[in-house]
Amino acid sequence: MKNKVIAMFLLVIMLAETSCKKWLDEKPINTVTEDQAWKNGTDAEGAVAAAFAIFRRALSGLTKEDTPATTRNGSWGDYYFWGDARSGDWITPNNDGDWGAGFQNHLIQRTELEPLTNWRLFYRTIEQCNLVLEKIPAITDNLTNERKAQLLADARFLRAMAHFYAARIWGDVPVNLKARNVEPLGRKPLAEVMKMVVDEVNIALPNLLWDNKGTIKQSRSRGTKGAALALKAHALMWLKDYQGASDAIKEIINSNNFTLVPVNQFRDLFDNGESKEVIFEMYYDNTNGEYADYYGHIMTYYLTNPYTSRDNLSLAVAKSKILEIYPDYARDKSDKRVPEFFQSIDFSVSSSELRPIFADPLQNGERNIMFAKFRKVKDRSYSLMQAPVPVFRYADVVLLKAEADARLGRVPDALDNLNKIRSRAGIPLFTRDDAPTVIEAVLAERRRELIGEFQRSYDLVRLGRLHEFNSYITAQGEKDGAGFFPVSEEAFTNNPNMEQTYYWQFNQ
Amino acid sequence: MFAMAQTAVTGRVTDEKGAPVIGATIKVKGKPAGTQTDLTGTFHISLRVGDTVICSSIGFLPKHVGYKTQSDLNIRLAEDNKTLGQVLVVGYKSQAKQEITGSVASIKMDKVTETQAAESFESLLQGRIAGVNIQLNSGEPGASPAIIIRGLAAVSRDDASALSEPLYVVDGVPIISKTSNEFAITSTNVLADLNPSDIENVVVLKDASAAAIYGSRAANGVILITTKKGKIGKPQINFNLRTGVNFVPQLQDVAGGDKERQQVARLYQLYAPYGTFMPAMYTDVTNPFYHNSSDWQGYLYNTSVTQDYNTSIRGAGDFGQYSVSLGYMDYKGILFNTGFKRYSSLASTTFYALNKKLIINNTLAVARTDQSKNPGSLNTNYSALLPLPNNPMVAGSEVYQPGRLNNVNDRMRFSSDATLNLVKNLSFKTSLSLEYLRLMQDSSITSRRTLRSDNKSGVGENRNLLVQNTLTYAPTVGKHRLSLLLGQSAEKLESKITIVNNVSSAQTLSQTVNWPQGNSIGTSNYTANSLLSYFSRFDYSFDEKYLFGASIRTDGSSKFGAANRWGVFPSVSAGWNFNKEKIFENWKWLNSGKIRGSYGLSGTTWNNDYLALGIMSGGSLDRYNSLLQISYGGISGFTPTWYDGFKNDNLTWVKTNMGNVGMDLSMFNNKVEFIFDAYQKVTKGLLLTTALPTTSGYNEVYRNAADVLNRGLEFTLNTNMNLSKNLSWSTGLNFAYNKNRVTSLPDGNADIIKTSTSGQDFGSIVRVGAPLNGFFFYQSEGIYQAESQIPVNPKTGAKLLGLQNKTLQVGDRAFKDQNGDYKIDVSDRVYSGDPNPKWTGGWTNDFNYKGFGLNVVSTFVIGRDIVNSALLDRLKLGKSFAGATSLPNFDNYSIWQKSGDNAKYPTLNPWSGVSQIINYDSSYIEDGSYFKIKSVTLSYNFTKKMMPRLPFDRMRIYCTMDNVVTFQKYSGPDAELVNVDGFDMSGGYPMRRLMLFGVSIGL
Repeated sequence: MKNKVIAMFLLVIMLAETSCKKWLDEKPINTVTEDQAWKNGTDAEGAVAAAFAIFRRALSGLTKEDTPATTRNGSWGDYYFWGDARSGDWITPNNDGDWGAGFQNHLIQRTELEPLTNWRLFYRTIEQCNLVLEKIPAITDNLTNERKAQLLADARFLRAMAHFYAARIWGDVPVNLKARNVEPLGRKPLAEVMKMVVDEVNIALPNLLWDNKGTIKQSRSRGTKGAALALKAHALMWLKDYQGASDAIKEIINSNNFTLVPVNQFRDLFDNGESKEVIFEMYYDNTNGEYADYYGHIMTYYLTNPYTSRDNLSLAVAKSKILEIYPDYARDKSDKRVPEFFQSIDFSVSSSELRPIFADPLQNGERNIMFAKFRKVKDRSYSLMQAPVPVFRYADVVLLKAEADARLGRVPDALDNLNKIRSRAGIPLFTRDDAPTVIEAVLAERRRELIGEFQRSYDLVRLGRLHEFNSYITAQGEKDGAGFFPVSEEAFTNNPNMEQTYYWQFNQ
Repeated sequence: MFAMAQTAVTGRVTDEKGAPVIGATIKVKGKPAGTQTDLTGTFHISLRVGDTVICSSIGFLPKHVGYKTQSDLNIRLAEDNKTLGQVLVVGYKSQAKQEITGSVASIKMDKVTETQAAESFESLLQGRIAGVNIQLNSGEPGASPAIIIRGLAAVSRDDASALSEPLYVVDGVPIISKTSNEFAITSTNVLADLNPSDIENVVVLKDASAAAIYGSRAANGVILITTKKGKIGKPQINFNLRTGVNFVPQLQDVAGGDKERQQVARLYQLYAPYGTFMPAMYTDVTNPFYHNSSDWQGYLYNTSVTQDYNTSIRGAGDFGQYSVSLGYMDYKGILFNTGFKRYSSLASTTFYALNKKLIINNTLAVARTDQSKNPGSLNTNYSALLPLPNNPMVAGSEVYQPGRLNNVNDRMRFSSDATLNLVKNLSFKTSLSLEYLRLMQDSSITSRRTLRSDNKSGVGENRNLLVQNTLTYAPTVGKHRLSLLLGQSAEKLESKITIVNNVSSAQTLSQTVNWPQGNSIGTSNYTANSLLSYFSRFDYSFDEKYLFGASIRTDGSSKFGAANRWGVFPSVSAGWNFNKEKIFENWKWLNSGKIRGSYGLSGTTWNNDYLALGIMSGGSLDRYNSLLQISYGGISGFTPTWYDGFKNDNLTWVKTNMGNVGMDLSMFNNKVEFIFDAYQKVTKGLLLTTALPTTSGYNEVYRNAADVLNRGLEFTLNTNMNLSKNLSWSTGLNFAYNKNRVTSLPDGNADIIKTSTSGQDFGSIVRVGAPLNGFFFYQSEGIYQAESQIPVNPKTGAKLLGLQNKTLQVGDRAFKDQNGDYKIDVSDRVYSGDPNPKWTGGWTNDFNYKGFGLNVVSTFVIGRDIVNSALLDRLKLGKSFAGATSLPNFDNYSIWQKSGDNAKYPTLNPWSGVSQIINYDSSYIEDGSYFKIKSVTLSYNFTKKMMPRLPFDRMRIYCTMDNVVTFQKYSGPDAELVNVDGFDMSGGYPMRRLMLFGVSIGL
């Protein structure tokens, strides 16, 4: 009896011990842990896509979920505020104080503008790319070497892109090329950042494709050779390496992968992103459930009824400014871009009805012209947007090459490219051939062609000429860094190496 | 020398009621011989006339009987109320009280439940154990009391206040005592489903040597609960029926009707900017809708009824024991729509088999609590001008939103264990316990104007599986008594929630969500952790004089990464029963005396099960259901969780080192008992988040970073006096001193400033050298009476800038500019007070005269700073104050209106951009000390003699008054209704006063 009991007892102990081995491996089922997240090809595809998803939100601004310090209720389409708002072309017809402060470069004064100064999502994009570059090389399951190389190149491209975009906004920015890097990083000079961008693009280029799988939008909302070359060219323009920029764009042109589409195909370009002119854009599409909310897309503020449920224009270009920017249209209504980019709405009709659009785009008064370059909404009642957000397009790089060539003294090449854009718009060819005039003409053309496409402010800041167009910025101010955004308070937390931009140490 | 003949005699031992005492030890003084009583209380022994028989039994006072005649051997033992049972459960084993070397306190629950009524047993322990600070900081039925044993050791993060909560063990099984915030669907106290009448006793393990056997969860103390079991003899059937009335205490001071109108008019007259006019409700005097003087509090607070019925049957015999009890409690709250109900049942059986070699216990506990509340927080402070809901004019207007909210907790706990006595002194015990706790919440709130309803339904499930095996070897060799325990346990705790809610476009009468599509959104979540432990305890006593104990436990937890998974928790202790030494032999007054000391290490973990594993996130839908965060181009993937997903491989247990020295004295025939303890508790590596540079992409990282020191003294004095033949008085006084201090913080002891998510810069500061939750406030220097008093910077000529860059004016609060930068901001806050109580304690008194009994329980807190934030919240008037809420009667408060006013409160200008009434103003810190007579009970015990016709063995009737009176300096309603951080939250739910009548009957 006693022996039986002891035998039973030992058996129980043994069973208990063997079943305990796995007892402590408790993993979540509603998400995964770091150990589980990097196992196979699907994980790799997802991780790279996730990096692009973060970058998309970085451009449309921090949301309440992204930072508890955010004082406003969601994002604002920050890419517009960085790239266009301060160019001097814009007004806020209903005198919105936040917009006004943005136009006037009062970027610290208002707490509501704090998210515009916060680069957190750029560095989240960068960290996600860093993790991808660290983890994916070890993945073999369900991932071919060829695809692996493409994904790594894609992440490398995006990491360079995020640094580039941040440097255009803040000037000197920290460079983070290491995963889980919690060191307090200081800011690197802008030129060093741009140099790094070029180097990284050169590493990524061989493994990038001219076109990824899928529709144009799917293909060109991820890293491609074209996107990488455009990024390289832009970075080189900041480095004043015009030869390099011109060469990079030459590769784009010679690929014959891109075309300048006729003006009547602009809806495909701006609304659907399905156009041969697209080089790199941020993916938005309702069919995949990826659309911006009320706050996320800057279109919310350009558009009103009949496109959205809003009554009043919040952002607009003044009528006189339009006539100044488009002198050909002012003269003989020849510039075909004006009716594509601007509309006049019959505001006399009650807001409860769909308001008619006047045939004459500039029929309305000074402060009542709608900027309608992008106007694809998902759902009028909630003002949900789904037009892609352009980053680079063919017309942009063609004009960029014109500027580079003009600066290199290759005026005929410059004129050739400039006139491609002018002739598509239906305005007379440019014929003067002294380089400085041509450079000015190219800049004016970039302003006309790319208005509201998040390029104008960067062009002016790159050339140190923002103060010429924005009366709130002085020449000395711009030298001190007024053209760049101030660094948010949060960046100084636990980072003794962080420094505020000189201008913003003394200005609000 | 010749001996008189020994004769074999038979005696019987009974208790005071005549019931047999089983297992009592019978010894003859000066002789080694001894015996024990059997099941009928009978014993057989050889005696000579003149021998002194010593009879002792657990729970009774020992009795010396001189043997002359047979009648002397009918020994009646008196219950020992003071030692409260001499054998205590101390964690995987029981131990004789005199051999215990740790700091262990025990409470017999019967004494408590006879004189007090509460939903949960913890609140009944208030003021009963030195060093166990229990504060009932809400009067809401079913609310959780705050329990802190030997000082706070938890750092509050965000807006929540952290408590260092003890581990609860019921009949040897650690139970689910709370759910982590994320999984807490209901706000009911999870422990309120334990019926206090089912509890035999509660043992609190306060020091590390006692608690270390529970290892990684013991650092905040362990509370061991033993439920009642059947006792040998005839079956005991008990009924305890009671019912009572809850009275509404003093409520907030409200300016009614015309007074409110006058006050609003006065504020408009004094401060309203040009072109701002009073709302119509104050000017439209002809409108009867606004012509009221409604007493909202009087309408919504009402006297209510509490009922509590318990019945049980218990018995035992050669087969084992059984105990079945049923309970029902219905406590209607004093606030409209609130209340708490409990249905409980506990069945426990023991069977003996294999000739008592095998003992099998089964326990099944099933309980339901049902807490009803108002969704959100029902305001009781509507403007007095508005009509009450029972006014016919009110139909269809949005005066208040009716709604329902029900929190239902269901707990089922089944545990089964078998003890096998393998060979002499060696036994093996295996036990399995399954616990299932379901929390459900259904709520609906309806707008009276739009008739739209908001509905929410949530279910939380918590499952606990526990397997324990222990091997005990306890031989006695001569004077050496040894006990060795080896054990192993494995535990897994899973939690799951599902919540659905909807906003319907039509009126719904349903409390559940019944809109299957469209505007309904649901979420669910799951978490689990497991624990694997090996432990051992060794106790040795020599001649019951020299005691030594040691324990070690090693815990492995799934919460940690594989590298850092195991923690070891050792302890040692020693004791000396010095009264047994020869030199104290002549100290007849000294019945027992013990000096003890201990040192040990124990731990705590945290709620988030996956924190150390590096949690990845798949993103979530935004509020327009867009997948922007989830996928890009239709491809979705994982990213780190940017807030807490930075994987810290070094994350580990919070470790607590505790040293304790103590002394137990029992004197004058055990009529006076004195217990003293002194301890030092060092808690190391409290979990904190520290911000990471934004360039990393991550927000913060969790680290074991803060160290906290608690030092304290504990005193307990119990006396039991017979003042005359019929009158006895016993008293229990305990008090404890604790001092709390933060000793180390990360990043070179840098202050941790918590920014409140709701406010501006307001939040507490954690600073080295200061106590946890210490007040860091702006130092008030009165009120600016003249423009000239506002300091001017001599360099710039600029006036001192107030909080949030306010331009200071006459009538504003003058705060001291501590750093002299002519700007009042966060850096001007200075240490101004400590909300941790310095002294806590309780005093109970029992008077017995014949059948009558009078019992008085009081509790006290001395040396605590608190802030009357409940009043400040009402004085903070915003632009739209008029009509939004009721107003206090300003005449009762000294509020600044004009220069020269010697006022306490600055100007109440509602249009000032920055309110001058802020919580973080040093002038509102008050002394939070109080002495509360918690309950007074008058009872009468009938005896069989008195009621020969009644078929009862025992009957007791009583009347209890609960929350009798509070003596305090505090200007607010109740100095106890204050949260751990020291802020008065009595704006929530006041504490009722209860008058209870009860009868308990034993068959």
